[in-house]
Amino acid sequence: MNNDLLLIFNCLVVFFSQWAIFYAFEKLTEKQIISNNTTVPIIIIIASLAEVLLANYLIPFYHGLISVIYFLIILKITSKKPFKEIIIYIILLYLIGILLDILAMVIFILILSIIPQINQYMLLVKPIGTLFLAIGLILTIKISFIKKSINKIVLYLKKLNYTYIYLFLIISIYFALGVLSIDNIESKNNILIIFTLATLLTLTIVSFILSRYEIITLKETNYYLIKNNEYYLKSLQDYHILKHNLTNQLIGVKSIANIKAQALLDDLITSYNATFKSSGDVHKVPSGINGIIYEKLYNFNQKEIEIAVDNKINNHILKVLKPRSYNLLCEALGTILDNALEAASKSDEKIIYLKFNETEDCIIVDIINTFVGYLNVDKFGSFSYTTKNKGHGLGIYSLLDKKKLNVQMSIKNNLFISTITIEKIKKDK
Amino acid sequence: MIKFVIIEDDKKIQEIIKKLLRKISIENDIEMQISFYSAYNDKLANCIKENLYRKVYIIDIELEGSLSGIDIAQKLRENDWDSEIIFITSHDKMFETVYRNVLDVFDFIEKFHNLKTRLEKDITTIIKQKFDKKMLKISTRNIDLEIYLKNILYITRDKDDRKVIIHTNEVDFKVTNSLKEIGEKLDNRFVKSHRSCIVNKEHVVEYNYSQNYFQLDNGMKIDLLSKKYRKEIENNE
Repeated sequence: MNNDLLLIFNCLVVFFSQWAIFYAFEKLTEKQIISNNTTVPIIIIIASLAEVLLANYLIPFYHGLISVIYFLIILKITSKKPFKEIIIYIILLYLIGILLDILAMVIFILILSIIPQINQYMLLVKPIGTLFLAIGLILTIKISFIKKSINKIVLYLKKLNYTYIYLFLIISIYFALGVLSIDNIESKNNILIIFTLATLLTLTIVSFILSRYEIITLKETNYYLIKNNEYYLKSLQDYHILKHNLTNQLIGVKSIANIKAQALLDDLITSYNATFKSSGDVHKVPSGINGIIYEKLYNFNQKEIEIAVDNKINNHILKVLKPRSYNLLCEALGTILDNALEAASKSDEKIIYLKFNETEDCIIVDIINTFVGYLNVDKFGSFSYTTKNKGHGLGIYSLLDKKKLNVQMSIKNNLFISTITIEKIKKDK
Repeated sequence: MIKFVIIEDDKKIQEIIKKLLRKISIENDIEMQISFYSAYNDKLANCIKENLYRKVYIIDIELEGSLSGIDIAQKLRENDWDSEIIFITSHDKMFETVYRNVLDVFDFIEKFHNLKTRLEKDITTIIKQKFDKKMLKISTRNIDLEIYLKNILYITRDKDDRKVIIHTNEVDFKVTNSLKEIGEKLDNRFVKSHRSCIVNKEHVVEYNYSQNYFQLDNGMKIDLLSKKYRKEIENNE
């Protein structure tokens, strides 16, 4: 076959395979990357030309690594998604590519055994294989089960810290090397590859140390948070006493005032007492968590919600929960409270009931709220379903997949019941 | 047979309730079993677990001992949502609305204000309502749904996505079950009024066959009444 024609064919195939990766990413993340960005096709054309021209000068391992970095940068700029998430998507797409490559090899070997004269077209094997991979990738991503599974894996993996991501990356690279490039690793290149893997391993160790450091910092931050919270509660108590005394004094003045002054004083007394019906009850919530509730109530600024608290946890919350579990609990409680406040505020009877309980192994928090309106029971808790006016539908969805945290939801008539269960620190027996 | 479980540490109040229950029993010709407890103990725990009879709990909120009346109610609601609870209290009415909803409390009665009259009225109502606590239960991947049948107004099938909507006074629930599947879980107070609607007869005040609508006790008019089902509706009345 004419060399020029082969080069053009190669370019077209590489362009198509790159476009396939962008297309797959676009389908998975539901972000418009190619369609909304005119520069992306131009970048793909230039990158495809560069890839074809440089293919002969690079070791396959580095060829793969450069393309990963290229995709990482372009996808970061165009999708504006976090690096970690993009890395995971790219690794998963490459893994699918590797599986398709194995399939292509098997098919090729079968064809070769049936039609031996195909040997004369060996130059076409690589581009046709790439074409097969690209088409395979597009078709695979179109299968909704695979799409959902990949998104679930991404959701799970992005919760891990970078240490695990690097480990995952190294394993993937080893896998890729094993499957694709084992024949291409010549002795002179081994050192370079080992050096790259060693760099990644170093990054893994550094990341591991940093994550340990993060936990220590978290513990320290929690300590100060509790101190601040205690100070806040004391201030709140002082404020309540002051308000109480002030109200009584105003009532005293009102008893000797004329009609106009009485009306004015009535307004003042009402305004001093217009607060949450039960904010006084929130102090029963375990210290540390009550701050979240106060903040949520303050931000929501809805004065008619009745909040009752039933607390059966006697220990300090950080004595029974690890800092990470405590943060998870705060996150879950915050998200559910946001929903509960919004839902209860629309009800005729605006009620939120918080129940804190502990068993030998777990802390259990029930958040019960009234609600009215419309609820799609099957879609509730699924991606992007929201009951809120300005919601994204991500809060509950993200909670349902959390490791070490169990969130269960049920409805009893017009009561919405969310139960958070979180593991306590294990006691040595 | 109705079992009355009185949890009250004041002997005088116990006596008042006992006399009142006897009177109601004779007047309504109802067989009753009455048991008294002054605090939470093993016997009461066993009584809560036992489910041979329909039960009415009359509980004092302020009890001596480690568990308050509210705590006991919470314990019994862990497994039993069929029994009725009446709280008697000398407390102010703080959080009455909360517990009335959360623990499904029938009434809160003040100990020193019209106790006899209120209690008699409540118990008579409970007897008349025949402990109507039947529920429609639907479970999905993320959520479990339980609605009292008495709270359901009507059930329709959505024209666009063929899903079913369960209408109550407060909330409309959309579920993927078919109308037939839901219909099988309901009792005879429900009747088909249209090929895409099942209605709770207890909430209907008027069937207008000439204009093809039925009117509910909350004033709503629903245009899903078909003459085809008239016979079925009238036979059930």
